[in-house]
Amino acid sequence: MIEWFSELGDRFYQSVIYDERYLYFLEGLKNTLLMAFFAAILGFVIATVVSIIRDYHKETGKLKILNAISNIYVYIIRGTPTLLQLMILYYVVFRSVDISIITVGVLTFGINSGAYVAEIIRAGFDGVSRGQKEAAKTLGLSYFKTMKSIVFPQAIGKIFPALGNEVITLLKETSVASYIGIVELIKASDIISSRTYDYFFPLIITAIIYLFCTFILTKLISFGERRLNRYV
Amino acid sequence: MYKIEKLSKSFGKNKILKNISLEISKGERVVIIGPSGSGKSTFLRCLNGLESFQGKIFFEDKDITKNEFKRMRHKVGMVFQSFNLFENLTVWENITIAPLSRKIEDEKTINENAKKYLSQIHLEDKSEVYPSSLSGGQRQRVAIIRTLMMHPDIILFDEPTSALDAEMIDEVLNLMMDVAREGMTMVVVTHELNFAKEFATRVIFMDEGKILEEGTPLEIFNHPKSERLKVFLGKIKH
Ligand SMILES: Nc1ncnc2c1ncn2[C@@H]1O[C@H](COP(=O)(O)OP(=O)(O)OP(=O)(O)O)[C@@H](O)[C@H]1O
Ligand SMILES: [Mg+2]
Repeated sequence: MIEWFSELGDRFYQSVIYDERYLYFLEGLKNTLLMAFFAAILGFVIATVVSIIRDYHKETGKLKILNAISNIYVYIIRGTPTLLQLMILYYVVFRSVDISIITVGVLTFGINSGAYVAEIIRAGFDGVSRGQKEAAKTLGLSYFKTMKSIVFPQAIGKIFPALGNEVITLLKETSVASYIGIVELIKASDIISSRTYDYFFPLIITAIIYLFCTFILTKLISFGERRLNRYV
Repeated sequence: MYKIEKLSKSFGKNKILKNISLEISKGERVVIIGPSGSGKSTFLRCLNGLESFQGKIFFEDKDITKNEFKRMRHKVGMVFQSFNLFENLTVWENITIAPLSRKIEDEKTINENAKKYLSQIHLEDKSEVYPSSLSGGQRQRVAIIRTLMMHPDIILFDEPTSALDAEMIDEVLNLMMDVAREGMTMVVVTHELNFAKEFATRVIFMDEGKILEEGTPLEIFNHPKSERLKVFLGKIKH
């Protein structure tokens, strides 16, 4: 028993302390968070634009072509695996372009997330009563003013938990980026275990780091949800 | 003020409004009565362009399907059965958002108007609360002053008291009376016949998408001609 524990200590030392291997975890965490953060922002921006195009088309019948493009975008992204999208961007689109792999990761995950978030936002728009939009119309408020001051704020409040889930999904999904050699958390643990031939601590520690991140995110989401829905 | 020529409206195969022609002059208070499903709401919604339709509607000589109407749409106020206050905005924001955004007058005047109207409905102390913490009657009164803030030439009311508990109906009807006394042109769909008798300058009975009878409150309520109106009035009194 004691022997087992002292051996465990040694394995921990090998996996984390020796040769400053913990730096890989830090590097991995940094890249995971970086990609998730910027992809979440990019995804949200894309989704907002797409949702407004679709909603504007639905309300007025205008923007036919942009609406069709938006629908095709959502269809393609939701119909293909993220890894495939990453590979296409990396090996085909940016093949001969001087661009950091992290940027390729952010673009992939952002474009990917945008399609899912667009669907979430659409549900949020639908959740705002038709009557309020009609009241806004009869008061002479423009489409964009109505969107900005009434529909969007209410929709965001309603869909905030779903958006939060999407960020958590994104955080985990960035692990796909290890495939093109980005040192995110999974890749980091992989590097360490390939040196020590010991998977135990690298994987456990990686799991703990992910869990810690999602725990913090969950807290932030429920805090944000309460703030956004003060008026209910 | 309004000139409606051969207005028809269908939802799919269902003909909801059939060839309605009507004129509404400034200062009139028109009450529309009729059985459920006769097209009263649809008629009001056509009047301010919330629905597409066949035929012609002119508001102050402007075709309401044209852009020139859209620019003056706020001149036609609308009060809904379900209030439709903006849920994420405070009472104050609800009543000031449209005049501020449309810049119909300077901010100082808008603020003064808002204060004046809030005190008229005795809700000065509620200006910072959200609609969810108001009673139905309070919400509807806020909805009414929200349209008044735009200085409309006419206000359309679609069953403004139907969603209210009995004890709140009067506070809304009284406010409508006050608005009427200021000379506002109003078109009101309602089942409150006692109110209609006192309030209306003209009553229209709609049935199956047509105007079946129209006249003064006295003519309509005390001397109904058509059988259907008699049946309708008989039903509603009980
Ligand atoms: N958006 C719509 N799509 C399809 N049918 C509709 C729509 N709106 C109304 N209708 C139909 O049109 C008819 C007239 O409806 P409307 O709401 O105008 O009647 P109403 O006289 O206001 O009735 P109520 O007293 O119940 O409010 C009804 O049969 C209704 O089912
Ligand atoms: Mg109705």
